[in-house]
Amino acid sequence: MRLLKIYLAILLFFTTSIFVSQTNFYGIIEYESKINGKKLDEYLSKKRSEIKNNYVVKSLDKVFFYTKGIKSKLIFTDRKGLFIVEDKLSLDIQDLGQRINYTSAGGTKEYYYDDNNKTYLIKECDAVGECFIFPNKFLKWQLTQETKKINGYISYKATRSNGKVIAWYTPKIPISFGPKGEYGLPGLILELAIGKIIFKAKKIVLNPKQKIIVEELKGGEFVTFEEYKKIIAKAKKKVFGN
Amino acid sequence: MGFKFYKMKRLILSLVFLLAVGVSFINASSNDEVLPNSKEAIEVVEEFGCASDCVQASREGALAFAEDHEDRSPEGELMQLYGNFYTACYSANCA
Repeated sequence: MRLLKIYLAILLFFTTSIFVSQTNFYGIIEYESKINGKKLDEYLSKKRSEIKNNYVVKSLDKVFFYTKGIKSKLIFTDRKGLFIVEDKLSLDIQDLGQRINYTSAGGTKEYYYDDNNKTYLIKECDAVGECFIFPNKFLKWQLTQETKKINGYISYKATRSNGKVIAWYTPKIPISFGPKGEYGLPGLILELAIGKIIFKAKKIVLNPKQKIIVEELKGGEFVTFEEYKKIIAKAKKKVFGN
Repeated sequence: MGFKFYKMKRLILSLVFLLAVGVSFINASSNDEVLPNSKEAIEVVEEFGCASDCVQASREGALAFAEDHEDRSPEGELMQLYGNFYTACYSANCA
């Protein structure tokens, strides 16, 4: 009976330790984004020849052939996270390749995640010249059993928007966040193919010595998703028409 | 008969005179008012043409590069891409 009590005490200790370590899970993930090779092939084999305006072709060439990676990072602690692009824009206003790749990686946007309160927000300042903070809505993922190894982690494939967005996540790191506001998967996103670019995790630092603080978004007008949609629609109408 | 013919001839000549004077007046007023304006108009059109070409090219570039899936910031990124293309175009061709 006494031996059983000792066993139970040891079991309780380990269970508590695991629970505590999981709740205090924190880290920094460094990503790099580039033009997705598949999208470049599509552009060169089909879309490029369909564009009649030579100036547009030259501009898009600058963007698609931009080879430097854009650095971004995700920090997380206590089931909260923040994703931002780290690279700064070059002073050359005509460096179109960098500017478009920078914007596509997230630009000056800030993506805030809070699994505790189920609050997911985006701060955006560049679209219409004012800063807005609005909810980052949940988008449903389709999980698959397809796997591949990324940085030594077995990662599973998930897709959304009819397979147009592809994420590879690892359940070994139980953080449901990823680059550019993506969230809701049962593990950290290590690779994300979205639009014309692809994010790849380059450095994974778990439980570093430095203290990680994830602050809530501030410095912008809080609006609902629908309100933000209307603001952008109004601005878009002026530029693109109906 | 002779008087009638004379009267008719005078009427026709008067009409021709009136027509000639009228046409010369119209031409004169055209020269005075329309030409300077049309010169100014051409200048404005040329200036607007540069920016409008950039608008057109930037729209096309942004739409070609924009994400073709459900966007987390509803088309806010499209506006930013447009801004990138337009700024680069304007500074290269119009500034």
